[in-house]
Amino acid sequence: MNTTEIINSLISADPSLASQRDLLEKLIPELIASRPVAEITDSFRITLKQRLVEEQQSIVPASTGSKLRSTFIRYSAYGSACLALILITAGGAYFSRHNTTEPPTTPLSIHQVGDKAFGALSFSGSGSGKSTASSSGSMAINPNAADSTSVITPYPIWSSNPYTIAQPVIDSLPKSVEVFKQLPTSEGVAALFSTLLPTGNAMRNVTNYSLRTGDYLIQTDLTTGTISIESINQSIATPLIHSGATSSSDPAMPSFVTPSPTPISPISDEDALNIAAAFTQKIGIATGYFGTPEVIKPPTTAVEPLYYPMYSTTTVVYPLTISGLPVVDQSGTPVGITIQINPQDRTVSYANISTTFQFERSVYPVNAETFKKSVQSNNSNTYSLYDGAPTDTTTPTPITLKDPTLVLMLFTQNSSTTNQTESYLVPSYSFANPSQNSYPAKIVVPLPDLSQ
Amino acid sequence: MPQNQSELTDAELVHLHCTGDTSAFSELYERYAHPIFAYVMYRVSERTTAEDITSTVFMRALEHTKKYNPNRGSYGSWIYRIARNALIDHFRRNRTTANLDDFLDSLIDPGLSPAEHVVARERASAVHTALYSLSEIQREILLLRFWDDCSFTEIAKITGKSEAGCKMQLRRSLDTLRTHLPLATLILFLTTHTFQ
Repeated sequence: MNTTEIINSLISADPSLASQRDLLEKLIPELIASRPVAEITDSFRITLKQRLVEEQQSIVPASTGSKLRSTFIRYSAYGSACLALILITAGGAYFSRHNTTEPPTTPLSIHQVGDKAFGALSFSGSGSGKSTASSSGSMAINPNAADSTSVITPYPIWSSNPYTIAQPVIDSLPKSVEVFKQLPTSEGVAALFSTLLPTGNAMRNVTNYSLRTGDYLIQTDLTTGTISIESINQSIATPLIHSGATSSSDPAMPSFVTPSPTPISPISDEDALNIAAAFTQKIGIATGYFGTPEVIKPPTTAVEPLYYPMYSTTTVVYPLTISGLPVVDQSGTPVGITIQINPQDRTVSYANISTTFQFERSVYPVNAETFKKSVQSNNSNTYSLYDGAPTDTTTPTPITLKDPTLVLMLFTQNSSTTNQTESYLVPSYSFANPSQNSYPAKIVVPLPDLSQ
Repeated sequence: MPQNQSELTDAELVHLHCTGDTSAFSELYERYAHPIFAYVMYRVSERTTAEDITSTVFMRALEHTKKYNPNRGSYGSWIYRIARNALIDHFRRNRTTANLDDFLDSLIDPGLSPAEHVVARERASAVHTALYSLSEIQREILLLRFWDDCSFTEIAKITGKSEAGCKMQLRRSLDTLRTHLPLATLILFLTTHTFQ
């Protein structure tokens, strides 16, 4: 901090201070030196960073969610080398029997590490303890799983409106649910990748590696078991289109956004599905593990006038289901093979394959009070920010959620204790947002209170 | 793909964030996590509260960064303004009196020796007394300038005052500290300087 500069600026504001320059030259450095210690702790800094990542996953457009996960993990300080070592020693060669070039005919299922047996999700109406689950199949409950998964907390829901939930829905909650923690092994990941990239793709036996093939860069992420495929011919994967302004002279237009020179006609669902199918065939991605592809488009009506730039992308998702339940991310978007199509040139700009391999299960009680709390966002989340003082708070209209769907939420985080990336499948209720003008389109609420 | 983002400006990072580069906000967070935490910590009574408010600030920043308009000021002043609003909101909701002892202890480097701690505690107490002799806006401007290291331009953006007005308020703050609180001021400035 330049003391002379400060003093000069003060004197310029009040020339009479010139006679007290000597005093100021003593006083101001001492005042600066008296600044107290207010160091942020590493634990808080890292925890908040992780929360922000999870929050980004819930607010970014669907097609970028999985990309976010792998991008951030690369960016964050957690060492993948250390994780790889752990993965290598973890054992488990289940996927070796799936190491085939033939697309499978049956969907992926959860199995437990210990006995390699398949199992199905089950919901217990009576069990309540973390080690007293009644589960189907022959699987036993891992007695250590409770400690390793207790760090999960339901993420906050941010919206301009609070959500409410009908009591019958709360009454219908199961008393306990099984949460699955992913325990990847290097062999399992390699087998998974080779299974999903079966048709002569050079990546099929490679993990944690990047490969350029044609116009695309394929990357695998050992920590999350994801494969990303990115077009290298587009400097920006998704074109930016301002939602309202039409020229750079519009005061609402940020300087870095270039208006689209020509209107981009929307892509039809049929065209999107055809483009996606051609892409998977070209790259050599086995889609047999996944469900019928569906087209996801951005909710244009939900865009606020100043909420720019908007992503005008069309995404095709081949959904992943486990034991009959759809797997979604925290924004409620289906997880699986996500293919993002640039409507401007009608090519695939980005694809991501997110799937699951080995999971260990444990059982948690459901806490209805926490469930309600996580649905009802509090007032601190609801006032307009940019130009508004806190007094600008308006009373938002509650949105009543109805008819939830049971899903498995794929939740990825870095463990605060081990610094390892951990993935979980958390049974959750997914509510469609009945308000067309409110974001997000779906509200996903984890059933168990894992913070207890 | 990830770039050497540490070399990018805030505005460039915001641009990247808006184009879908999700690591860009992480870089912004790394730049402002400590300054914002310190800004909040200087003004609230305990670390836990400061952490809660800091979390709120960055959650709001994440939610609204795409609304940030670089033509209306720096990203730094924008996020400080969010923090200021969060603090006002906090004080409005929590009118309980903070425990001064806890507050002073929380501001002292825990690595100090017992003797150093006593001195630092006295100094912190004097600083606290002196600062709270100022009006709210005077204290805010003084802390922003000397402890948060904000420029007058940034202070003006954060507080909504004119730049000249901020300078004048700061000048009055210094005058108050010097003329109306001689004892506290003497302690504050370590009693080693002569005030004339």
